[in-house]
Amino acid sequence: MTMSPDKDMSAVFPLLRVRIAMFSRSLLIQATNNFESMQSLGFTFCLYPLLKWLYRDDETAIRDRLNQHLTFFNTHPYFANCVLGVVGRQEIDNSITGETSSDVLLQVKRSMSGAFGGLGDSLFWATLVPMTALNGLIIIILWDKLTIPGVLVTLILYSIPQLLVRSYMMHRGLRDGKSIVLFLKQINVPRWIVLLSFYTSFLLGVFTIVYLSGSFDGTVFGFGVLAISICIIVIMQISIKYKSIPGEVLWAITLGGTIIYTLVY
Amino acid sequence: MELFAQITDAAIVIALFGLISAFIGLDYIAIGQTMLAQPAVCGVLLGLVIGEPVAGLWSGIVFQFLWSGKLPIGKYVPPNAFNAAVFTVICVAAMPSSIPVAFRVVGSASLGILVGIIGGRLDVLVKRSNDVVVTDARAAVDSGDFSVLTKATLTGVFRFFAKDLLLMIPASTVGVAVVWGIYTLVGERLLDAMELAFRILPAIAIGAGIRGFFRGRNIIAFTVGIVVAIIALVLFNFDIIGGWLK
Repeated sequence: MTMSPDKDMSAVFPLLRVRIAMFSRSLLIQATNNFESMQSLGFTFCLYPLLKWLYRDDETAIRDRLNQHLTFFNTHPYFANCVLGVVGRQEIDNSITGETSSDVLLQVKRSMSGAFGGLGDSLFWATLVPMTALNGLIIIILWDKLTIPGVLVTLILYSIPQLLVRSYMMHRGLRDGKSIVLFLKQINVPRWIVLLSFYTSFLLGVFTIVYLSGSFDGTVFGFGVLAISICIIVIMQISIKYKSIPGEVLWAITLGGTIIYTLVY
Repeated sequence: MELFAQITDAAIVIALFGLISAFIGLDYIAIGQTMLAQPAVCGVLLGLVIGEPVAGLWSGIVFQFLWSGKLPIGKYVPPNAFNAAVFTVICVAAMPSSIPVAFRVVGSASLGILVGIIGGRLDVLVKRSNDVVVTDARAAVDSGDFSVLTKATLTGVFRFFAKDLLLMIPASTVGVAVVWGIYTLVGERLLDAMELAFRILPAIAIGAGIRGFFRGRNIIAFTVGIVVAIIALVLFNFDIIGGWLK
């Protein structure tokens, strides 16, 4: 398994078109998500342009490499690009050295996917999505004529950074290989998660007041709405201990309660 | 005759927005995962398009936070907040405007919770059906057919698209019929209850959101946010008292 003879061995960085193909395919990594091997097919789909560039018409080599990657793989979809870059780097190195064993490569892939899965879930799903949504919603409610800008702020605040993170991580992984871990250690992602979740909680506090003041119109009815809303939020907090009380159950109880109350009185 | 025209309008709205939502829904899992399919964006945008911005904003707030503590980690598939939010907005748009907005929104959102849970279960089914695609892809790669990777990915995209389309159109049809039917039968008696529920139900979603975020000392930041918001509202006199919910 060696690199095509006509390829310049010093040019070990994939061509721009190969990187673009890998990145654009990475946006589809979840399309074939399944319970058996999770994102394995999506990951292999992303890696294919690189393997094709490395091995050109050597179908046997490409087939062997693809088969190696069609095993269980699961991580956060954004951080998958980082793993993609690191694995890509390893594939390039292997093709240069003629290394046929994939043990190290697959071990790196496995260990990175587990660590990045937790990191990505905490950073993006649990922190950045609610944070940007709250930003947009507060803008929309406070300045009701700014609905479109509010939506745009939400979209831009989230989408551009996540696309940049995805493309930069892949680029850095392809360039530095496994040592990207040092870079991630340097920027200290867990500290950013703590800081951003503080900011998200701050925004949630702001949003709670914005919502409550929007439901209070100065009448007795408005005062009742305000009191009930505060009670519900407090009940939700008290029920933290009892995970068995989901929001939808409280919803049904509240809706049923309002119907019974208004029908009786 | 008027009823026939209203039903025709509803059918057109459901078909049109069902199709649009199936395209937007691809962003939720299959393509990109930007914020486009998040309720806070798609709910508000669709609300604007249908001319019911309050309904869009309301459903955006509720479904952005109601399940925010349930994250798609590993093999766990949470309820589909996108399906729930878009279902609510489509139902609100499809019902005649003679039905008060509070009634349409609360009725639709209550059914929307069910649609969100069903949507999550259907996501599980799509992922299960993808198991077969992977098995087939392995066999094809073994036989030297590498184009199967692209075909399998496109098949996956189509499955998620079809799932949203096949869920949203029938669910919205049933949802509109149920809420409209309840309003026709006992609507007048439930109006006050729906008005009250319209104002207080988002508090459940906010409570769920707080519950989802709170870790360790975040409560300090939350309290600071409350204090800052109260001071800012008083100092800058934002005109939202009783505003956005009307």
